[in-house]
Amino acid sequence: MNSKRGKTLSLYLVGMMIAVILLSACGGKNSDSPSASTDSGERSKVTVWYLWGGAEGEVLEEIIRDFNESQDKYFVEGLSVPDEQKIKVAIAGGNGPDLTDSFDWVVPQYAQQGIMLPLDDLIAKDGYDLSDFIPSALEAGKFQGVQYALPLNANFSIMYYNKKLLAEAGYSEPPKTSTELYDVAVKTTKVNPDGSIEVIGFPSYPSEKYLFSALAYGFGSTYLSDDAKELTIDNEGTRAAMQMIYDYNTQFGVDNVRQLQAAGKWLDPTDPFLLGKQAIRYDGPWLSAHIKKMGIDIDYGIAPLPYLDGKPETAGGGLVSSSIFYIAKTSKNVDGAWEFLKYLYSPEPLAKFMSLLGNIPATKSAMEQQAMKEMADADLIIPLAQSPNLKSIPHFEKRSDFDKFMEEELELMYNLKKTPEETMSALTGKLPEFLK
Amino acid sequence: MKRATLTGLLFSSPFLIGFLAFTLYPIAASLYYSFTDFNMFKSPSWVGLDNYRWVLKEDDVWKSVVNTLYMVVFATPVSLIVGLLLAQMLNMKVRGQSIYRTLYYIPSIVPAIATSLVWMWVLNPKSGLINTVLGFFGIRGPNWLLDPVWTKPSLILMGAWGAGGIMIIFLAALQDVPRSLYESAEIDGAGKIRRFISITLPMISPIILFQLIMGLITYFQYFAQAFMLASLTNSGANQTMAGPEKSLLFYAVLLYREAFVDFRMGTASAMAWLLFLITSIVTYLIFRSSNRWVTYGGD
Amino acid sequence: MSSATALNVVVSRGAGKVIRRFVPHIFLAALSVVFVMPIFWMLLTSIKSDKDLYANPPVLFPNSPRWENYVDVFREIHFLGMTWNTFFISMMCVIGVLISAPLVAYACSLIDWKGKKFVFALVIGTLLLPYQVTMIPTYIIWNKLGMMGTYVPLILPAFLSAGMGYYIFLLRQFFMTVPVSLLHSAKIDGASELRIYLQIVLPLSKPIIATVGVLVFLAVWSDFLGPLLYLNDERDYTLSLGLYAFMQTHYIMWEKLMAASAMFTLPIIVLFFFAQRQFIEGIKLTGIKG
Repeated sequence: MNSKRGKTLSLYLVGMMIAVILLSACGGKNSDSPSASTDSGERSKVTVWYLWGGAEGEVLEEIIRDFNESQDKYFVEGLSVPDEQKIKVAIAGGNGPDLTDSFDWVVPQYAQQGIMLPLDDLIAKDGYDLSDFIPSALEAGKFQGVQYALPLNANFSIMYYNKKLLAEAGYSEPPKTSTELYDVAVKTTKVNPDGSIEVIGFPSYPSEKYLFSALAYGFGSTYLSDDAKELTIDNEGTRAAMQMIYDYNTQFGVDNVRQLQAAGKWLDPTDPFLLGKQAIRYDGPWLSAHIKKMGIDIDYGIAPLPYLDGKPETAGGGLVSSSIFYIAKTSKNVDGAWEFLKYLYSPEPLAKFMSLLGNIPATKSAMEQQAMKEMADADLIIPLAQSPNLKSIPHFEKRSDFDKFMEEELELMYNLKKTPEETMSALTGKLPEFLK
Repeated sequence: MKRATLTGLLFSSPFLIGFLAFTLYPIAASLYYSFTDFNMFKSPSWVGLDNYRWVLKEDDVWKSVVNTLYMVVFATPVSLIVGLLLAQMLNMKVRGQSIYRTLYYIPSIVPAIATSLVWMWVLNPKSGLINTVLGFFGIRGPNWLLDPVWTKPSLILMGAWGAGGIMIIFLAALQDVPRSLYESAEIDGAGKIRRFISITLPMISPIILFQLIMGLITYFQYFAQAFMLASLTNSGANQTMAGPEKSLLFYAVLLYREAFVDFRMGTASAMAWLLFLITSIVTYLIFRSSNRWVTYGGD
Repeated sequence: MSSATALNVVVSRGAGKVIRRFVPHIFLAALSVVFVMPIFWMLLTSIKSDKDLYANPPVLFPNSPRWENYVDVFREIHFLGMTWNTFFISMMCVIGVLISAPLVAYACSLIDWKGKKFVFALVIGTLLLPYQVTMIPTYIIWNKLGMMGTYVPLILPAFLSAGMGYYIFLLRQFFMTVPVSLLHSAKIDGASELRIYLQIVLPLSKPIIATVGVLVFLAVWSDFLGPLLYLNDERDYTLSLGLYAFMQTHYIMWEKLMAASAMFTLPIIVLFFFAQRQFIEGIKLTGIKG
């Protein structure tokens, strides 16, 4: 009969639908529910996703443990998520963490995309003292007058050099000026018969991209005016930096440099500097911490970045950037995130964290803690942080596009596809557009 | 309603529900999004043709089009030719055919990420397999994945390695060609190559057509391997996903970046529709031209 | 022709025949070496220590094999967990497709109703649509439904045959070859469509169904974009995504990456050996009746 067949079929389909729903529901069993569970009597959960991994992640976990033990209102759960993409997408989708870290140059972009929660209200409500922060670092967390993130540190590159390699080439002192830098780099470079580079004298490892701004700012360059309205990138310092990289790549061959760059992982035991295959290296203070932690036996020294020949008054220059922590716009436990944030930034925990990471903290009180003195090479590094010639890049709306274009043009130059002259024209031609 | 119609509908219902939910609605929605400024947090705001204008003017888009066309134009024939040649060789009743068939086929089922990783290492400029072997002959191999000139050829190599699937298809097609045709041609004095060109190719031309279209569609949407290779030369917060000098920036990768990195869903949707338009046109054109070179066999 | 010359001709023709028989073998063997080399290289690398890895001049075989690389990988990624995740998702999709696809394939082939051609046209239509067009709104739907980070977006569409046009097509083509006489006699006996479907057509279609099952499994197993978009917690990752994430933190540690790749490839090769026939059949079918 008609209705009977129709009935069987419908039952069949309904059964299938139920099966689908059941199966899909248990397929989601692995994931945590994104809500901040406030079970009766139990703590309210705060999720922190961070980019650090390995040993550095461990340090943060320690601080998280300390926080959890110090109070019983919140329970912080940390998760190492090295892929920043994932974090962004998760926050956008509303199932991301409550708190996460990043770098100061993303602040304009993230703020505009609405990923970061403005902190001004929380700061005002608690009367949180911002004067403890190094002003330029604090600015790095602000955009259009709103405080979106708090800076964790104020890092800049310093010059590491391999004493043995320099001595072998006849240098007992590290280079101080730009000319000396290039001389040392060329003389300490060792090339194999087939042209490949055995020892690289120039700080092009990990990459020219990583090196460039430090090199340029070390030579006294500034990219922008303080109000980010004017492009000031066309100056002696930038040109010297560009020319130097271009000359080195021409002299020793881009392919050879690339090969060396591909052969080792940054800060790993395969890192050329750690293997004694790089004479000069521009990197942050974390390199000292790494060397100490991994127990690498290498005779190295630390010195301020070389300044442009003939401009000794610009010595001690450098570009300061910060890591930041921000509360996700879609956070479900803003109070918890804020409490942990305040704890993390209080002098002792911050000093502990920064000292183990090998970073310069962004608060003055953390800087004065005992823990900071125990940081690797603290005696050499901390004085360098006092230099008046350290600068930072102000925020502006199209910062990401600006950075991207600059990197792309410079890459062509690193690969010897364009001369420094041509590259500078390209930059001065297009970059002002992003400043409007 | 007639009983048959009801039954037909009921049988088709899962598919139809899926079609409505996952095909029809998304098509309409993405068309709508393509005319808006939409970043997933705020509601979409209408911008008319702005997104399309932006897409047609943007440097990165054109760069990605060029990159994608490179793959479409070069990788498709390479895969087809390799697949066909392998099939032709396997077709010569050799002993151990199934072993060879297996060896050629397995690389094509290795998941994309494992393929990418293995080839990244095979192509390592210093210690990789290829440059080491080249080194034995005194040749200094290029920086395969770091040199903008060699990144796409590396991808083509990877594609050729995975031609096993296509080979199986061609093998089956070759085996369908009646031996009698070859035999009579041989009697008429036609050499191997002549037989291949005048008999084999026309007889399997429908398959070639089909594989050609599938290949083109695949490479127009080329994503996974490029995505993985690009992240090798790219780390940290500034995700450009483009590879050395943007040589690995393919259309589908740029689309992904627009949507899920930069959260510009409006422009990403516009890009998707343009892709749809172009693949449709190209497919149609190839079908039209096929009248001239495809011969459909009898029975 | 003198007898000597005749002998020469016979011998040379015979020798030529032997050589001609060997040539294809040599070719095939040489080429198979080329094809297998990368996998072989992967395996060799996976047990090298980093001294062997960067040895100059390069070494083919490791001097001191380091099997611990595999242990290291196991420790650093939840390989077992991810294998299970991938297996679970793949199996669920296979079940979903095998339930829903034959139904609509049947409707497009053996049920005589008005919408037959139209629905089939819809099926073909979905094949021609680039996934990019539907990707973003689908993502947003799942987001609004709160299904991010679950397996639902990866499994549910299979139960509605979404994105499975290929397989519906294969099934339909096969169903069309079912002898009409069988159907007629069943109908005369008063069997309902459902009955015919379940008791006649499906049993006849076991080979094609097995093939579709294997193909779906392979496709979902290797899927990358789906997990990339929808999974957040590492513990939920599938193998493709897990290996990608592993690469991001361990780039340049080739010995570990090769060990991980070896482990990720192994299940596929095992599956292939068990289901060889279905693989080959399926590939042939997807390739031919275009």
